[in-house]
Amino acid sequence: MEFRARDYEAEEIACAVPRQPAPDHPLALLASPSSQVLPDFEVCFDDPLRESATDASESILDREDGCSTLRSKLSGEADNLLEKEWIFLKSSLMQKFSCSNTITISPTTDAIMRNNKGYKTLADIHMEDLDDPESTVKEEIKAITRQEYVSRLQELKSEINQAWIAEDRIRALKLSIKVARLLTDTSVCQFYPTLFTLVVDVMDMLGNLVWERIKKRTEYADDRTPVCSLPENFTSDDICSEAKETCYNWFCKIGSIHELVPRIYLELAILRCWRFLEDSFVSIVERLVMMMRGLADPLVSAYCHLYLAHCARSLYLGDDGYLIMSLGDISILLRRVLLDKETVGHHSCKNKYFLISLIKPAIDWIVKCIFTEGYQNASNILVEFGVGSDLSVSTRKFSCVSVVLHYLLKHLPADVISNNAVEIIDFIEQNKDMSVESHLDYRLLGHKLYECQHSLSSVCAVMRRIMQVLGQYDNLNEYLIIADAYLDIILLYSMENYLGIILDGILKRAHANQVDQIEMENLQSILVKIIDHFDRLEIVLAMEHFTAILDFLSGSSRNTVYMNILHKATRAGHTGDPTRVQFLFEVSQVLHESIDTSNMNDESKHKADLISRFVGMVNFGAEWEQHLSFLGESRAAFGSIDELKYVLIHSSNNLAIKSIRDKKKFLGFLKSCLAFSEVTIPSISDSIQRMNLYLETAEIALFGGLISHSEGLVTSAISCLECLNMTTGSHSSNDVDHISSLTSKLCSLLLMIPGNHEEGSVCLIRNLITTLQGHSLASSKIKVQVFCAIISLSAGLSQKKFLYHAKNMEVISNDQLYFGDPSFDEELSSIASLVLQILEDVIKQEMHLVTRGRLALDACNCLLVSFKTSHELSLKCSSLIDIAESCLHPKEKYLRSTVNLMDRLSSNIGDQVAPSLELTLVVQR
Amino acid sequence: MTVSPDPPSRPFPLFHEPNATPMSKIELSLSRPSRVYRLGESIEGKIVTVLTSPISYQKIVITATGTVNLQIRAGVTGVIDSLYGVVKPIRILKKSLQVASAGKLGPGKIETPFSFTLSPQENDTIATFYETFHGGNISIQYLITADVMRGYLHKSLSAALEFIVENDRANLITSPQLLEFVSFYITQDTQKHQLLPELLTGCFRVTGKILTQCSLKDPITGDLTVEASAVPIDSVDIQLLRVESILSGERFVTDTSVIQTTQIADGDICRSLTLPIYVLLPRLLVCPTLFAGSFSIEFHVSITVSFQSQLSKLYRKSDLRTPRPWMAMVTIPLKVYRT
Amino acid sequence: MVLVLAIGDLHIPHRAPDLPAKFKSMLVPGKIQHILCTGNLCIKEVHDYLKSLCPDLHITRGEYDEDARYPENKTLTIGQFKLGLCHGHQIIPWGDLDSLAMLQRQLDVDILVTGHTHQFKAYKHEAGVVINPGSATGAYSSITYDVNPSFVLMDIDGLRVVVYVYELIDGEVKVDKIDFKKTANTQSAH
Repeated sequence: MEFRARDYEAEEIACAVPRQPAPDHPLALLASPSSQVLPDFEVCFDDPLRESATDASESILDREDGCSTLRSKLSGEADNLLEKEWIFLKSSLMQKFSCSNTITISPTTDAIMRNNKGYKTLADIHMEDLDDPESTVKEEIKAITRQEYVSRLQELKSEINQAWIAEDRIRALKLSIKVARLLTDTSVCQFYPTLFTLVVDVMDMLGNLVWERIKKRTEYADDRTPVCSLPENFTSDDICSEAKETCYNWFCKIGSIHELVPRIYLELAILRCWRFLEDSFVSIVERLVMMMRGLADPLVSAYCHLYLAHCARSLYLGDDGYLIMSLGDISILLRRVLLDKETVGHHSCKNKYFLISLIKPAIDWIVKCIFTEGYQNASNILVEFGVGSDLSVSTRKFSCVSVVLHYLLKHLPADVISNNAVEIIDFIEQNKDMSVESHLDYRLLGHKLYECQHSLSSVCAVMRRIMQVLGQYDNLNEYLIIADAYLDIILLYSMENYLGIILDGILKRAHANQVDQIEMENLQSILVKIIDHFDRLEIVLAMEHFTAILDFLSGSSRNTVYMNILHKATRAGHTGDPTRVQFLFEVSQVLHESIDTSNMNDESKHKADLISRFVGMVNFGAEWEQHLSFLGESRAAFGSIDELKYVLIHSSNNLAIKSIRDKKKFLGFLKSCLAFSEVTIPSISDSIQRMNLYLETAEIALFGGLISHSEGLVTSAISCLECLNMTTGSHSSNDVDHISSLTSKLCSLLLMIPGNHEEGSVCLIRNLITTLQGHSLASSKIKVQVFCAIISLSAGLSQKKFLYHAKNMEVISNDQLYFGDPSFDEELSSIASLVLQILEDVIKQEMHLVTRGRLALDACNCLLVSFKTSHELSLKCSSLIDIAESCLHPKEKYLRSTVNLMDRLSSNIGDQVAPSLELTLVVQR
Repeated sequence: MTVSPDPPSRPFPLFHEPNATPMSKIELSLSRPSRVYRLGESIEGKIVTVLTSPISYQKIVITATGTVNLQIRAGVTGVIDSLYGVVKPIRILKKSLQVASAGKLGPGKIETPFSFTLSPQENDTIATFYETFHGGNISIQYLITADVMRGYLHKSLSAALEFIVENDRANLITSPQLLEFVSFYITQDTQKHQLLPELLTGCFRVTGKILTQCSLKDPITGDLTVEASAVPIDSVDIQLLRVESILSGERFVTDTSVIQTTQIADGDICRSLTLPIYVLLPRLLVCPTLFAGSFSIEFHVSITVSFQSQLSKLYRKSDLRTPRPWMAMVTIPLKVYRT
Repeated sequence: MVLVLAIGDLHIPHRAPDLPAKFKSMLVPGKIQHILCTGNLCIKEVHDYLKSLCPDLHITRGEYDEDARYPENKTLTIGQFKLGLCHGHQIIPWGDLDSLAMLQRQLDVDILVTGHTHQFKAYKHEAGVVINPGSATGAYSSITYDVNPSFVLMDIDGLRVVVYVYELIDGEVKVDKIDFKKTANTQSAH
């Protein structure tokens, strides 16, 4: 068979489509500045919370008629949100304060013990019984495990539910009272939050049962026929007197409970049932808050207020005065805890911090409720707590404990805080107590201030004040925490002088003592922010004290900061300043040492990536020699990173190209580059990458006219192929594709490499064939692709003038070297027929039908394109088509298009494979 | 008295007479589910019979009765046992009404309606209707009884049902226009009983105010402040006391019982912080304060402050009536009225 | 009117630090509906940059791409046109029209977009249209190191495609256009 002769130039002329200048094009419109730059003032912030806050306060103004809309509004988003958060709060309470396994229980918690004395009949239950159970049993200390406690409570819950279902509501109530009574016991205070969530679950369940029951009494007649359906926002007028009677009875029943804690909890459980009786609830809720003053134990009290805040939402009060009362009362109790030297309740003064930490979630929630409901003009709250008022005149309603203030700051809208920032700072200063460390308040304030926009003058005032405050902190960690919180603002408003003061302050406070882990983390945050803020690393490094402070770091904090430095450096593009490069090189060395090569986790990979990126970014401009020696140093320093070596090769090849482009005395330098690559590539562990880089380097060598280098590199690439284990399944399909496409690329490269006189004109091709045949287990797909590639290559090599030639004029390509040499053509033909034979075998051996069919078509196409139409070709192609037809769906498009091509070529012997449209038309005419 | 929190109104024992024939059932039902009636109002209801076989009767009679039962529980007041039960029940209402004359009741469910006006008998001397009340020693009860008379050979079919009588507010002492609060204070000096030495040396002062006249529908309200106490407080409780007096022979026998205890402070609460007093009156256990000739029903409120003491742990916590050395208290009369 | 950006062979950062600034200022998010990238980006940052221009990004794998998950070739349909994408280093010899036509048959597409040679090309033949957007950064290729940065924007409208060629020559962006129409003839080819 003869190869098809091609006239590439004619084909190009025939098929190329003429280009016309386009004065108007789609991107021209985009490039006009007016359409893409949005003016700053058009950027509006859509803060859903703030919006609802203003809406709600508006509807407060005309509450008479706005009440129902308010209700529906609140029962919507805000309510759902809080409901979800409530569930989250409960689970976090359970997890946060998990405690030791054993809980000692005092007699009051008798509900937990299993020695229940049988069930009492209805008639046995007397008032006294409800009031006071067997709580006078001898004070035995019993210990049960947490799990037992929890499971016992769950049992109780289901018992209550069952009693209810059995219409034994007395028993359901009695058991609920017992459960609520558990909350009087704070002897194991770390268990209290868990206990609270368990008990509250039971309370909520009972509350729902009662609610549904009374609702049903209104909606259904005695004989269970539906009477009406209560709307969501019903009023007490909609309720029939029987239902009201039932409801009132429940409140009476609960009102007759002797002990305060269960009485309050049960009333809270059915609190929303007041809606059946009344239309105004403020006084009810306020009365409950007042009743909680009778709870002397701060833990009991705080959680009771928490439950009130939860339950009261169901009444849609439109007033958050009760929440503020709650906060005020909690503050009073906390103040007492903080001031008293003696114990309060069960809590010894050693436990004060712990006690406060237990109470924090309750305060947090109550404050959150205030702002979620958004009823009140938020700045009024500050006034209520005395912020901004003259402190010598005690006009404020409550003595504010700093922990309460802390949560106020946490939940207050940022704009309110920023409008009162200076007053708040004064207030924090004057209200320091041990419940919350004041630097945490300052931190919170800083974060809030950063959240909203300010005028420069107001920021300046606040920052002046903060810098004064900051100066008073001698403790490094507190200093760092506050500085960190305001750094964003300092950077945003470019207050570089403050930045200098802070860095100086850090240095002053840090030099004497060793920086500990926590301080290091805060320092890390500060440094990362600074690095992140400035566009150029140079500015950061030039900052006074910055590098000195950098030296305080060690361990993971240092690594993190260093990674940020490298990141910033590599983002900035090329760098060539020797001192900068030296600095970054040292940074990279530190990071490199921290990489655990045995365990390349994400962080290690990221480090390796950054180092590689840095090395790739170094550019000494025209100083190629310096650059190359830098690459050598990098190889020595970071030899363990494979990825870096890719960068090294690419960089050295790029350097080589630059030198070739420059054309002056490039040869010596080019050889150094090639030598560098030739030494470096073998140490790469991944054979595929090795092959890839050998090929790139071979291309470079060819650009430089170094044929023997190029030949050697290609031989190395082929040997990489040899090393590859191409057994099916040993590589991912991506890798398999990559291998075969690289081999195809190799074939295309071979078109440019002149034949070697000593070893024969096509020794590299033969070498390649041998290598592939050695891989007996390689997948048929790779084999077919590569052998087809070799046929295409042979066809390409057989042309009188190749499609492309080596760029370097000194490289004489094979079309000139063997022009008219019949032995070269014979060589190509023999290769083609050898490969053809292998190809047929491979296709026949493929077991998978569809694959076999497609491979046959691939081969057929290759043959049709490569060879001149002849009888022999037709036979071969027909047999391949037959294979394809036996394996594929007859309407398969690839099959049809191949058959069409074959028909067309056999009818137009000698015609082009892909004639231009115009040409085809001519023939048709 | 058992009170379920849930039924719509007060549950009353429903008496089923032993049935004449095993398969027959007779019940009474009133038009008002609450079964509450006032003087002069018409009581409407029906007798429901469910019979397996028809029976004939001579007549069907409805009887309304009202009785004050006075009895003195043995030992409660130290009165000798012979006094027990000597006081005769006082009949305050008896009214009969024939609903049907001789006839036959068929099988199945049959409803026989009736209606009468709640009024004293024409020739009755009792001018006042007392409200229904079930106390420890005094009980005022109204019943409706239905009898299906079947001649001498057969036992009558009977059913009874309690109904509640409440007084029309117009008939009562006029309710006060303004809430009347009385101030109280409890200190070591106001106590008549022996106090712990540390209480005497340490001093304490608890003050507040409380309502002395209270509607049945409303809670007892007031407030309380611990102004000072050197000894930590254990608990503050409000007790509602019921005082029943019965004229027995020459003198009144008085029995005081605790009908409800409500804790308003648990633990050593903050000083100078005002706590609310909020006590709902237990339904059925409380009626308007009543002074009849031969008996009276009154109520008191007792405020008890218990202090923390080792001694107290040896005693039952719930007994707050006995003055103990670690307790201080004040008792204030409470007038209950109906609005 | 659908705008499809065809771009490839950026070789960032190995052979070029970044896209030419003039190209970058033209390529702004919002107007382009699809991006076809022939490959050799080579790093993730470039991928992210293209994604920021247009979320509908299609990439095939060049031999130097870090991300091994890009496929060797890819097809997609935009409007009336079926498009194929391949890097092109697999074509033997590189850029050969017959071999490209073979791939086009294999993928069964109207427009085939390939790269690797770093030379803009647009061919029309019986099987359809073949476009090579060149190298957007002007990186050296396997064949040459004299490369003008270029990319292609296709405006697909019904049966018509207008191919805009953006080429940076001596620091100036030169824009040419080529008009293609899909005819009944080409439609019947598949």
